[in-house]
Amino acid sequence: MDLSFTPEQLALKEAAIEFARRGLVDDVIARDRDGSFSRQLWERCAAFGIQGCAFPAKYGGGDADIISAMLLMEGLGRACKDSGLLFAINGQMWTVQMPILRFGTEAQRERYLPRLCSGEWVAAHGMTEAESGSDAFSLRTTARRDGEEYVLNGSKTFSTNAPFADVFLVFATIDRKMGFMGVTAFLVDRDTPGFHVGREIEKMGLRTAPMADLVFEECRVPVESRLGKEGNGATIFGDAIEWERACILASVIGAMERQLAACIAYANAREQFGKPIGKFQAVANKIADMKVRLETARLIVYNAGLSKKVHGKAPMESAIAKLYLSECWQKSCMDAVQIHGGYGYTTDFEVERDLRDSIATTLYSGTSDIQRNIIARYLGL
Amino acid sequence: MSQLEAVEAVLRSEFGGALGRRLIDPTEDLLANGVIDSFGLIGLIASLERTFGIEIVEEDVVPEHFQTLEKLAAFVEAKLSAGGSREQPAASASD
Repeated sequence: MDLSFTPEQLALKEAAIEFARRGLVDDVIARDRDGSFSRQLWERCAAFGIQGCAFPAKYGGGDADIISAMLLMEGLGRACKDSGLLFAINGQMWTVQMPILRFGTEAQRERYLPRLCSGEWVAAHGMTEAESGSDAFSLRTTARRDGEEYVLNGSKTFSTNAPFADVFLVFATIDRKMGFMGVTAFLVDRDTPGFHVGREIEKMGLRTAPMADLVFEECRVPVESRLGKEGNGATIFGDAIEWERACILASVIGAMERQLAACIAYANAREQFGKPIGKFQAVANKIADMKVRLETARLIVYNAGLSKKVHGKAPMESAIAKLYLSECWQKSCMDAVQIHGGYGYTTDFEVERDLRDSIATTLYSGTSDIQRNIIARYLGL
Repeated sequence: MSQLEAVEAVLRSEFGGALGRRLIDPTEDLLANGVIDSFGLIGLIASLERTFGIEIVEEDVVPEHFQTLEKLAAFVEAKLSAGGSREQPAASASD
């Protein structure tokens, strides 16, 4: 694996760090407490070119390759303490924008991508339902063809960005008997009659990225709003989720660097029993483990990126990246709290927020056990 | 071995557990009967690509190609006739 990034790629990462240091600083502790999303920070990110970075210039994007996009995210993670914001942006990029780019008609691309890249619009993804999580394709939301329209009925849950999104990529079945091959994708605008955003869902972490239920009651959408072919929804979903698994945790590499630096500084500054706590092996070994996790995680995430860049598809590598990074991040967050002792448990020191945010990483985009199932499948098991 | 039999052999290699030793009617609905599931599909596609030297892209994965053995064999035949390649989905960050 050749990890020799180009000077331009490294400059992009540095620019992202500098941008985040200057432009993405606000009272994230208060917004986390309130569960409040910042549209202002979202728009600043779009103006910098984050949402559009991996998309063609003709749709308002930055034409970056996947490795450059990952480095950009790593840079943001290094300096932006709002993990919810980065999660929300990544969710939109990989699970809405990318499917529109890869499976949309030219009219769909022209309608949605420039608005999403520019930050004018926000998008949400609607797959999970109350009774279909890991078994995603057993969904119950239906799409009934009626002339030149489809009629959607059902509901979705855990839809990130939903409370303020302008457009929703939603999956419904045209025939439950066909199982996963009945699943079909639709783009639904927020003001579509018969559709409304339901209750907002309180959660433990990533609180600055609110999520909500979606409700469809005889919601009529034109045939032109279907994304891809009838029955192609499962592969569209699979393609999108592979992009997400490969890329969504690149920002965590930067966050792990930030966290490591904070822990080293604290371990050198904090004295107990007459010397810095970093001089005690119990603390130093935790920090050494955090460093090992950071460096191995970096190799694994860029391996997934390179595999996708070279081969187009990298389902196993993406699953490995998602599994490994999320579990490393959780362990390091736990260590960071422990290193900070009682202070680590307080909001002001901010490591407890990272820990709460990290819990979601082993759950969204397929739980760790689902990633293991995928890896095992590719190993012929 | 006919094309239908060759495709059936691939299907059996991937879904032997679900099929057992029973015969497959070429018109049997493999989706409705739960023979082909979403996890197994990954292996089926890889196996079809390897066995027949064809490339199956995301847009190919629709019921009209995978619903029955008969449709699957016709799809493989069409792929082979077309030279085994098709247009990939649109440009992306990996391009």
